[in-house]
Amino acid sequence: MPFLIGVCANVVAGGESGYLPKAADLLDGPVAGAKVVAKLSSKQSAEILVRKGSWTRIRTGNASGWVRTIDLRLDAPLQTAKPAPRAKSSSHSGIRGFSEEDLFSGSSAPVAMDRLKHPGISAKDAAVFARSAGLKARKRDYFEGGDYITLDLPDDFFDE
Amino acid sequence: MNKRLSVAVALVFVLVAGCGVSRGPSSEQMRAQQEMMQQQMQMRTDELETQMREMQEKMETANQPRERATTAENEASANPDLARQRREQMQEAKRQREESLREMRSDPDTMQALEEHKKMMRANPSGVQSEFNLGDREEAALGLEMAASLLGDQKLVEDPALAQYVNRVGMWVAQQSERPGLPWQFGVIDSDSVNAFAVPGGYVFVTRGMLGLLESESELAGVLGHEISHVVRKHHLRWIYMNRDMQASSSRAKASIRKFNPKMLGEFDRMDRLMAQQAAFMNSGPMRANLTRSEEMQADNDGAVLAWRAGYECWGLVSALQRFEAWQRPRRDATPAKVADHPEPIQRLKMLDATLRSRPEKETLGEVGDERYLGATRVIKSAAN
Repeated sequence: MPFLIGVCANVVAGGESGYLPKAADLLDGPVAGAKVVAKLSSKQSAEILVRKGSWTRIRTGNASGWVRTIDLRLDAPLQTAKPAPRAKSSSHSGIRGFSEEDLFSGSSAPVAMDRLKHPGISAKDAAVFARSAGLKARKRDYFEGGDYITLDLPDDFFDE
Repeated sequence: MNKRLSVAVALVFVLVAGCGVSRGPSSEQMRAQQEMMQQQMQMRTDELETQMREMQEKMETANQPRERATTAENEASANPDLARQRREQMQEAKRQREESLREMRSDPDTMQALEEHKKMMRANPSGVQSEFNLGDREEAALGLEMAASLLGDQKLVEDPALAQYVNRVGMWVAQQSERPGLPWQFGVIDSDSVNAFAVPGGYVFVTRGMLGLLESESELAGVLGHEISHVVRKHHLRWIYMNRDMQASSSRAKASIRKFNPKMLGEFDRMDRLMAQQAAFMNSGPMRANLTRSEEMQADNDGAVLAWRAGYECWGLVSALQRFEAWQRPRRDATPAKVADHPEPIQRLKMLDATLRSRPEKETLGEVGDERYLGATRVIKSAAN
């Protein structure tokens, strides 16, 4: 039933691999309390098969099963680009990026910004796209400060 | 720290306003009052100076988080008593946190205030109030200027189909935000580097390298949602507004002092210099890194929520961060420990995962859209391989 899997989970196409930074249990289902298939040791390498919510199905040696996605680190992809110079971004207090690694030298030559407008996608176009993609708008609040003070983070939460 | 500054600014206003209304009484009374105010101001300035010194010292010692953490770990492993103490401290802190939370929840006034605050934040998630608040058009003009100077001679990818796809996804996610009417534009930059960024007004950029790294539409929606959050929360404008507000209030205060109590000018200048120093300190270096860190965490949480509102799963941003962590690892290992503007990707990953897992699972699930994504980015992906 490959179609069904495609609908409910993210099938990983091209032989993705990773490792476990810490020892973890390999479970036979994507639920807490599922049967333990194997005990995996730290630095154990794994082939990534499928993602589903907070879970990832992996294969290690002969065994396959589920671990929490957070307990996995992916292997670094082959690097084609040289690392960009860092920390230049600090001078732009107005810029907020996904990563601190900076792309741009901040040359003063203005880029042709009119090309940015070219796709000209309106809110209506976006709604048409969403309908055809089967995406439905849903309502909910952001997670505000009060929500995560209650998170029970263990002592070694950030250790690897 | 912002609070301290605003307290200082407010104090100047109170003092100045005091000067204004004190013209009624006799000149002797007035002199006495002015002297008292002068003393108060001097005390406040001294206090500010001490605070500033303490703050700088504290930040200097906190400058190497990695090294410090290692030392703490080494100490703890060498000394089990210390490890126990550390655990006990953590438990005590947790107990206190829970107690204050219980107290807060049992007080109807606090809960009502919290509800009102939430309502206000729903209407204006940035919470930014400034006398210089720009209109959407002015904000977009400022953003365009910033984008132009930042992009320099970088080119946008010449692939109309890809640009349309990224704009459709981005626009759909942006429509679920509190600022759907901004002139949202999403550009793909022709760079191998993996990054995305936003400037005020609704201009969001993502690199070709980032699109090549991601594997599904929910991942893209999470990354764009993160950037959209920076714009909605006005993270960029906060600093600009703060500086302008401070300069304006300072020059107004100075004008009033010159008029009503010129003797205080010297003291005011000292305070003004200190405040400017403090603002400069906060705008650069370690202090700003800390503030940015919390802004990034907030944008991660918001990005996951925005993607969910648009019909996607929340977990796309988690796998995007996981991919980003792997991509960045060789670079990170090559760079010596430093104070980063951004929190480590592992920290972001763990915080977001913990936040999402504190919710019922069904509230985090949705569309993944991997096939559509791989189809739309096929050209980039095949060029990279």
